[in-house]
Amino acid sequence: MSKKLSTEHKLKPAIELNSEFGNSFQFAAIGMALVNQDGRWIAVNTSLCKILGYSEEELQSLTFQDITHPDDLEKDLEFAKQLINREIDSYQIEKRYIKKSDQPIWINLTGTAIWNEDGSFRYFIAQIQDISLRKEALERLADRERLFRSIFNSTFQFIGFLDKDGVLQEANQTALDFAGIKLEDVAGKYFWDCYWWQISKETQEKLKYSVERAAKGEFVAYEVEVWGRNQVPSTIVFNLKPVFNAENNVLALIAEGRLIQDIVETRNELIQKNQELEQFTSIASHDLREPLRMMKSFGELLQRNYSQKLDEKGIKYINMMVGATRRMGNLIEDLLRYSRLGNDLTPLEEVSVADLLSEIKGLYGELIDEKNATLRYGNLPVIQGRRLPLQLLFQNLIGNALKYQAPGNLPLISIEVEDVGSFWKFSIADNGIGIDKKYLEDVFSLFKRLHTNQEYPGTGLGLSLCKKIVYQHGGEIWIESEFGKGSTVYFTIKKQ
Amino acid sequence: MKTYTFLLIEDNEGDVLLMSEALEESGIPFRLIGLQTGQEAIDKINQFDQSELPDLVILDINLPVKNGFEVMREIRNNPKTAALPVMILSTSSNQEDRRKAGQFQPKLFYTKPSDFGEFPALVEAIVSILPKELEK
Repeated sequence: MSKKLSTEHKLKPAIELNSEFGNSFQFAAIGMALVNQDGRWIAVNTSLCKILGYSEEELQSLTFQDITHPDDLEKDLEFAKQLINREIDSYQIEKRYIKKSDQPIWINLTGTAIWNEDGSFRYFIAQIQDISLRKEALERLADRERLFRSIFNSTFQFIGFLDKDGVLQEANQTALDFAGIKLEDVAGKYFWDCYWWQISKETQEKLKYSVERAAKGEFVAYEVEVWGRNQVPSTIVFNLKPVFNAENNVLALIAEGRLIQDIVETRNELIQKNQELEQFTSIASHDLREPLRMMKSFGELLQRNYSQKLDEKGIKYINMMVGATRRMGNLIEDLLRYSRLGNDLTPLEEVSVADLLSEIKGLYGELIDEKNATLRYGNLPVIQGRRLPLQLLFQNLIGNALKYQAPGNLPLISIEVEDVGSFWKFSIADNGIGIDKKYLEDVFSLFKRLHTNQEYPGTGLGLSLCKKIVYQHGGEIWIESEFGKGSTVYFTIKKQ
Repeated sequence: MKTYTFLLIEDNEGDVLLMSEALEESGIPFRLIGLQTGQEAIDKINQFDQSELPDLVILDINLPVKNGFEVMREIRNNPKTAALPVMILSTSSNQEDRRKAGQFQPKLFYTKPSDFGEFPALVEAIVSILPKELEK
């Protein structure tokens, strides 16, 4: 068999080895071969030998069928047949050969034919390019694609890709499952026309507008109710992120959604509970005030008009009673104030802290004169906040600084402010009686009192009120104090 | 000196008593008609002849069955009493109440005193809105 072949080869040299064409064939960078009608390698060049790991002689004793991967043989044979029948002029396929080492190798084959003068078939010309590296890279890419797709599909987030006109290209499994739909139902449609958004016209309009904004390069985020399976509305946090190309033009949009129905429900419950509580406090305080007014008023009438008919003990009892009702009145007023802060939805305004302080100085004028107190402060900012609560905050803290003083001490109160980035940090320092370290945490709790009414009267609500106001302004409040030397209250107010 | 007639519509007995005490202490000659519900007040006012009408109606807002606003509406809708001076006495300084009362043009909207010591100021306020020609 092999003898016959070599005879044929000698008889009809396929390629003149020393011709220019012969050289360019032999030393071409890609694999080249002449193959006869049966598939036998008639002439092979160096590159092909290198690709396949066979010597020239070894290859010439084989057919291409012998070394073609079985899975790729059929299509190659089919094309070869078409070429011989002159149905096609050439073909190109990607296929695998089996190397001498038994390893498969991916190649790109271009097949053409040479014809005899009488028009009969002479040889196949095969051009063979090693594409194993490219194939490997593609394989790796496919693996990565699989990996990212599995992340894309398994994440709890809803993710979709839109082109910059808002047409949905892809949506992940989470988003599809949430709605109980298939990609075919939505892909290729304008995003706002897709099932999730059909919950209302307004929702669709808003999305359409948001896509327009995102297509101009803006990041858009908002909370919105969309349709889940069976048209059940669910709230999501939604955002649209533009993806830019190298020229900084918007290439596509990433749509992302996160289900927050649980959070929304909890939040609504909390809001409702809070409202109920505020209502309760407000009603309770109002209704408590009524009988208290009576006790106080008739107590005072007794004191005024009937003192002469009572002995010393009787007068003392009435005084105790009137004093107690007065304290309870203060308590109710503070409670009312506290509960009203909770439903303060008034918008933020510009508040000059210096103006607040001069107002408070006026309010405490008598007390300041009586105690010979000094209030010290430098330049104070205009801040964004709610005027009345802020006034109450400064008023309470300055009131405390004036009140909690040893008898005879001259109160010195200094108010300072520091700009700390996105916050204003205020401090109100006094030279008062101070607070024992172990109570520093407790003083902000409701009704927490450290002194008897004989020493320092109060309701125990003042600092709770301050805390609530500071929290409403996005800040924190804390106290540093040295027992017997004075206290400094710090609080921050968020710049809006 | 003329004796003033005050019609006090107030369901809290204590307040009626305190008002009466305060008026007495002020020394103004007065007659106080106390009524406990809005309906009673409306019936009573409708019974009055023109000459029997009080010099001032003092009206609480939180009344059982018919509240102060409804009483005011009836007073204003009746030609006989449409011009009657009315003063609102409320437990709260609630803005909403104040706004609502405003449409009936009360002579005065006053927040109830929180103790007896504040009553003299209330009486002063009452005197200030009494019809001028009747004062002397």
